[in-house]
Amino acid sequence: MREMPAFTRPVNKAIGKTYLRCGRDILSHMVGGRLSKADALKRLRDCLENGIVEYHDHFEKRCRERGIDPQDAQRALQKGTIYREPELDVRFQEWRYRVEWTTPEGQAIALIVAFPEENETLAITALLIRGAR
Amino acid sequence: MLWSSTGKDEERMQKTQRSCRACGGEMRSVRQDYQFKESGLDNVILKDIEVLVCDPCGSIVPRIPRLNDLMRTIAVAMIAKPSELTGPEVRFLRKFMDETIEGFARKLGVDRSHLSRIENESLGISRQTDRLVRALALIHRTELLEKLARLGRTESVLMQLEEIEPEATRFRIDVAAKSTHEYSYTLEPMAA
Repeated sequence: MREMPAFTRPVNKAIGKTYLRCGRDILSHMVGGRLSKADALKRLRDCLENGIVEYHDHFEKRCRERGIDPQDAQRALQKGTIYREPELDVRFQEWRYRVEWTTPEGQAIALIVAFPEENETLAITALLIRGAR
Repeated sequence: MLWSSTGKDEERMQKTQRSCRACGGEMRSVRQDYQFKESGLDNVILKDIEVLVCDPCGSIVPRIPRLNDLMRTIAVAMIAKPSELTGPEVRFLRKFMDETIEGFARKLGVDRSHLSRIENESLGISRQTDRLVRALALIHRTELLEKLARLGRTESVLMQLEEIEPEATRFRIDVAAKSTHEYSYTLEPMAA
């Protein structure tokens, strides 16, 4: 049997999905597109205005547990910025983006979001940013 | 016409397939009322919206169209409320204006601690402060005036300022899609 090219060879099946040792561009095609930070932010804003926002089942609960007002989390979606590069969630084969915002009271928070479809945003969880000023 | 009544929307609902983020199971799409706790308020009900339900683990994921318009609708519903604002409603409108508690207290002409006590419901709101909060929201966020105009309720809301009941009665805010591009609201008194 002919050996598979190195970049498509399965290297880990530990968490139910096979992921491949390959470059970023190949991964981007596999999981429906890795957006630049600016494009991701534009898509987020478009979803808020004309698309659909989904909230993970535990989103509001996590906000309360972490001392974040859910309304501040809403404002973070509307006004926050993406500073970091997205991270790949291997299990669900999607890129996750971190939207950061500081409330008027000075509380720095981050929301983790994904884009399951072109006009849809999934708000997964909210975090307090430690050490933020 | 509600979103639910469009054939295109039904078709899209059937296509919506998601894996549950909690258990990995397949989620099904249904329409039902949803308590929108993610707004930061516990008295906002979204009527007949699409939600994804995971039968094995019971997870519920709301799919909310046009979130910006929804938040505007909730804000104008509060401004139109026929009784005095409750503490959480004052906080909602303050945050909607992106105001700090200090800055908003200065605009209202009260102490920071006074406003804090109002928001935490350890102190009732005065008639003047109540009306000033509503007026500031309309001045500060002009899109709220535009929203009221689109709903055809500007006059009735301004007239109602004269008749606000002195008790901070809790109202349930029912929000439904008036059209494919617009939310509308109804206010229902809640049982004590």
